[in-house]
Amino acid sequence: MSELEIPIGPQHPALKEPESFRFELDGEIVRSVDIRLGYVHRGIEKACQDRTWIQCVYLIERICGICSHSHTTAFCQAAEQIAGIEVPRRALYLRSMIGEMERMHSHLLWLGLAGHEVGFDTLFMYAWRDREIILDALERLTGNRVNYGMNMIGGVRRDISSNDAEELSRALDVLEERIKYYADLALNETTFTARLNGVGKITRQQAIDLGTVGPTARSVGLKVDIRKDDPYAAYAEIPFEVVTAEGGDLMAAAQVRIGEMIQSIGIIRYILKNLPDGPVSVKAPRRIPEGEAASRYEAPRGEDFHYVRSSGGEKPERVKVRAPTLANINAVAVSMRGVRVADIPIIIAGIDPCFSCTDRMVRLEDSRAGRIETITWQELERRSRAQRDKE
Amino acid sequence: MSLDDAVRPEKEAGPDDLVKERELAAKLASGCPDAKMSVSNISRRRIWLVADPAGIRHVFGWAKEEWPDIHLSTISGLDDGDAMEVIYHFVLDQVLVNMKVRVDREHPEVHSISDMIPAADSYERELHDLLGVEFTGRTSTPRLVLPDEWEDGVYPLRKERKEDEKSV
Repeated sequence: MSELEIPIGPQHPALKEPESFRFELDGEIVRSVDIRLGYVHRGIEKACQDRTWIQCVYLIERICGICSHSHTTAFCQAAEQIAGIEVPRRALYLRSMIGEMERMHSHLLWLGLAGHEVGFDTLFMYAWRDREIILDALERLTGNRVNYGMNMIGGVRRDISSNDAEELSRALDVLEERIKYYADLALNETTFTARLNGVGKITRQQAIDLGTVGPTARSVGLKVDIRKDDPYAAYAEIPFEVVTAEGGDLMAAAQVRIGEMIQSIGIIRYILKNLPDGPVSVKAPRRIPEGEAASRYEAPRGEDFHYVRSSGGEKPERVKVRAPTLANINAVAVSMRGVRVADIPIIIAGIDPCFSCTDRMVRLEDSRAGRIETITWQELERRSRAQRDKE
Repeated sequence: MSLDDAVRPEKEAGPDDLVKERELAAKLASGCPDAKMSVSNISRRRIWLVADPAGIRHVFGWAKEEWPDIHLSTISGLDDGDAMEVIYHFVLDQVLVNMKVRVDREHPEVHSISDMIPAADSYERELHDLLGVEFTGRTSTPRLVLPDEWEDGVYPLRKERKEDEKSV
């Protein structure tokens, strides 16, 4: 029997980096999926070779609108390691603090989107409203909601005042209440759990083989976290737990992310209480000496990997960036096999993308009848919701 | 600034602290003699190696037996003007091993490992797109990051390509 093919994308699907998915269907069931990337390949690695080290920090900040601090930290760490720069402890603590704030707003964004994709828009609105608390705090500290411009080679660019620390601490109290509420709601509310339990499953072995990272890997019980395994910034000195879950489905991924937000609050509180005195940066040389470094960072979506080489000049010889999504995208392909069409949006959302595109077309091709049906992303979501109502 | 003011595990690590890394490097070198590995640098949780491209499959086949949860972080590539460097970054026992192989710049070719390490698939395709490294033994190397209309045989990360050169 011939099968049905649905191409989704290229410019769309729920991922902040547009991708193209080609689903092969047998009735309502996905048989296989083919993924094509690169639609927003901007050549940043090449561009870095023609920029000074300082310009590169700003360019790299713009790799991602959500985890910009992750990328700049990974890059600055590499440059500092090559140059043998001793970053002041206060700066390392502040890097960890902004990193955890970033993780919280990223996970709240995901929680809201996950709610939206399964037709639970109340959760979407709650989570995104509360995300504003942490974005406001970031704006107060850095001047920006995203793309904070906090990092520089040799430390961070802004210190935190006692006033800001107090305000942040109050914001954390509010957020802690909210996140505990989400933990309860997302894990016990059937509207949510019925659509997540057992959906988008990967096995432990698949997670290892496919090289998955971050919450996706931790959702199968793999205790991997760069903050513990290869500590950077101030993490070697900060107590926290690596949150894992069992099952490898979207429910497990949700549990991991919600648990991580609680941990993040604890980390930020620890930093506010134990912030070392001293300067927040040291002067870095304009030319980074010859050498190479590999830097790893636990971004909200997992391991962010930077390989940087200097030939001793004003510009890097090579900057290689492997963002966590590239490591996790193959897990999406695997977890899609055998699911229903209605589960496609939430599974794509499962590895935590940004829903930047609202009105995207999905083409359903019925090769048997020679019928081609073009539906909007909203229509696909509507079918997804209809599935919820059935359950 | 004194050392106390800075957290620098690499600096604080004395020669004795790198026992685990040294043992791991020695184990790798002796476990895969085909790769003719030489250690270029060792620091806290980092090993830098240079290996013979002919031994790549042997290294990963052997490493996967020894460390079943081996994590391939990525594969980097670099055109240094004389040769093409392919660097495999993988994690064994929480130590990041960076294994470099140098291949001919005009005909960069190295054997694929994606059948043994499925995670390598995307990284090989990316390197093939951007640097034109051929990974032999694959049934196909479909484009991953470059657009469909990009001219064959034009590799953006090679030295001769300028940043503002348009694709054809």
